[in-house]
Amino acid sequence: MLRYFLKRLLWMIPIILAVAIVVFTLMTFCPGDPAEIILGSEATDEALEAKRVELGLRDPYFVRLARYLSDTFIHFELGTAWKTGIPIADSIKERLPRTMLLSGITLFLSFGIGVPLGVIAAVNQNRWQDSLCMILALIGVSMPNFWLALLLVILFAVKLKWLPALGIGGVKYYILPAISSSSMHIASSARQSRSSMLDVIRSDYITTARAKGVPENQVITKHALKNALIPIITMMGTQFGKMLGGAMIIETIFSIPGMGTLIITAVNNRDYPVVQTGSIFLAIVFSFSMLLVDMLYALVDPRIKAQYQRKGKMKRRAK
Amino acid sequence: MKKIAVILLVTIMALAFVSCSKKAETSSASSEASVQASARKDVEINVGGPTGWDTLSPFRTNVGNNIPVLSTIVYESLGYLDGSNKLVSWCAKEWKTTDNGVSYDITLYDYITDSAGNKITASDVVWFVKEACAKALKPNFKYVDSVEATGEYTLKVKFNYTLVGVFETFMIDTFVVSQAAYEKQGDDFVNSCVTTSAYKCTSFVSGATARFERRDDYWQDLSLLPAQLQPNVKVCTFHTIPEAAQLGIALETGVVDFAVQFQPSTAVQFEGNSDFTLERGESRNGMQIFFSGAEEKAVANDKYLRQAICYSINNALMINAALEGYGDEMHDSASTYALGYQDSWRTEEYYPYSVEKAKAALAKSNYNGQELVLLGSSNTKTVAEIIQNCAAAVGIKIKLNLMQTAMVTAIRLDGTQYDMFINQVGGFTLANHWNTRYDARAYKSGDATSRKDMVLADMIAEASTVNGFTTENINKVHNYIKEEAYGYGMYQPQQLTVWSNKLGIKTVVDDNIKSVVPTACVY
Repeated sequence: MLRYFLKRLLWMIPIILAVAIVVFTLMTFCPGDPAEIILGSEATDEALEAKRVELGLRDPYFVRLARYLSDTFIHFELGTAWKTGIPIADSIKERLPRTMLLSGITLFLSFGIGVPLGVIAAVNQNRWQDSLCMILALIGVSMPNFWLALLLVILFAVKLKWLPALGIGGVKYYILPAISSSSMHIASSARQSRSSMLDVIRSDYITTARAKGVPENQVITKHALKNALIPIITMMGTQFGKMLGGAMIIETIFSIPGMGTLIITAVNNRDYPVVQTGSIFLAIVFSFSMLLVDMLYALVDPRIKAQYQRKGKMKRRAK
Repeated sequence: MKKIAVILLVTIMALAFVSCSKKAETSSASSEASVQASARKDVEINVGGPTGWDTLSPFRTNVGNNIPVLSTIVYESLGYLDGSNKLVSWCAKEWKTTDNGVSYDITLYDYITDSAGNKITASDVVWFVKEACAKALKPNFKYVDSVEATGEYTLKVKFNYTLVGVFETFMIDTFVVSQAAYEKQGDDFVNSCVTTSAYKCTSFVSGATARFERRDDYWQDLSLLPAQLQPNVKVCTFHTIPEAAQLGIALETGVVDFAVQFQPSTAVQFEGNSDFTLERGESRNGMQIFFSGAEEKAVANDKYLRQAICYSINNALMINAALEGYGDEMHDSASTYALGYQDSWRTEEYYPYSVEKAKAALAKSNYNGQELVLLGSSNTKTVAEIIQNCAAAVGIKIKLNLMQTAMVTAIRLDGTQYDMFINQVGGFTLANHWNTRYDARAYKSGDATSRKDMVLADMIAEASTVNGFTTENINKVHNYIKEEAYGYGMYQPQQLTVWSNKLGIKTVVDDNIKSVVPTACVY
């Protein structure tokens, strides 16, 4: 298991490198002049050209790429934002925890609510509970999260005054943003859980368990759900990535200074270092989340754990 | 018994009325003195706006630079434009020129200190200007030829062009910062700063919040400061709230007490609301359409086509559709805020909406039905669509090319990429506005739309100097641009500020564009 874990960690290196190169290339060839955005519309042509030289924009693509990769991965110098002058490391240190907290709460909600909904729907297939759950799922998937966000703010912040409408602070500031962000994911989790459970519920071992007189709730939770978890865990990993990337809209609506707003502002300002570094950090977080997903497979399914261990033993024997 | 009770009641009421009116007379006679005397100094306010400061660095330009509250409490400048647009003393005690504006001798107050106790001398100001010129992050300093300290508290600045407004802009844009404090901190003051301001920034989250607390050891005698710079609140916290609806909700729920740069669509709900006050100020920018001057473009050499488009645009409709009525029609491509703007222009005819006149001008033009390209940013979609429909009504075909602001910035100076360009442009002075937009010597390809009209360039050069900035020359340039229709001012949005009446503001203090300065109001 440990070898598998280390091997996956090593695989992350070329993945992150590839992300860095792709993002760098996209930003390089994206139209827009960072110098003009930094200096403003009244800057002289000489000042603009001097700024372009200072930022290294006049160097060939491969020179710039080599310099960027060397600074980032060898010297670990993340640099400063071109527009604001703020060290990028400081910005990320400040903002990444907020985005992670928001995504974490969203993930918790989406699986805490979505999976039970899906299980209820599967267990009561073709009954009113199933229909109700799937209608709720359809509404969740269809409703734009920014629209839901404003509705929730009007209800809970303006009318009921239970929760704050915007800003950052304690956990209560993340409740409305997390609910708005999770609606779509709850719906997806519910549908996926229902589908996985239906596959498992029809299995012979479930029939055997029932025949043995195992209580129904134990049949569902101990036998069926555990086996239905694999696709759900897979979805958890990919959804976490979507939550990280899609946080920008929710962060803007709720005025949360997180990674989403940092990157989108940097894209609009053609602030290449911020976009590149921010994307790398998100890629690292996403890679770790997928690694965690793979580790969870082993926890949930002993066959997969045995497979990881067997692969290691076979390699040692071959040596 | 009942009669006695009624008589008693009436007597008591009469006595009460008499005593109240006496109090009212007394209070009206000494109201002003009592307002000042009773003004609360322990007020804490929260101000919200769609843009804030991304960095506290004194050398960088922020999108939220023009927000009144931030422009007066973060850094102090040498001078300040008061409510009547006159340059008054701030950190500079006095200034004079003996060569008609080519150079100025400036004297600082000799007791300026920052929040860390550093004394400010002329060398600090000279250092700041030289550093800003070297970094080239303050475009207005491109006119500074040289600056040197001539004494401990005196300096001399020389300009390479005696453009109208250059000195005023220099005075406003030169922040007073201790070189020692800046170098000691070593991080460009991006997240925290040491300033001479009456307020100290105690917390800053880029693009989110900034909290300022009044200093007890402020260096200046408050009686020497204009009303707009009076530090009348104890704590001011600025919240950046980009989403317009959320800014309105923040105001309703009390998260913020003031909302500045309010969007018209959200401001409408506060109009006539007794719990809030909505104030309309002037905007520094107008919404204009500029025609390409690139030779190969149809509009470049066809005055009547340009005029036809100008006549076809229904500005009143645009103000209602895009601004919910919170705007004014323009009478020049420069905004009314620009120094030199003539009052006489407000009543003269300036391409009023007229389908007949548009068609008449089109008939004189060489337009042969080709599609013209209108360039704009995604923010100007509504305006662009109205222009497209208005032009179609008179027989002119327009294709919209709306893109992200950064991409518009990349191509806006290349007149070959469009026929018309919607932009929001301001300018501290008319000279500023003309030089940026219409001066054929300003850029490599000509003016800001690649036009090379040297007649206009010469007219602008003459009218832009301190001596040449006369009513006659100003009108000459205005009439020429208007006749040729190189640019057309459509509307000027009003700057909307809304505040909660719970604050109990006794005296509202406005800046030079009639925008409330929350920290300077009397509570």
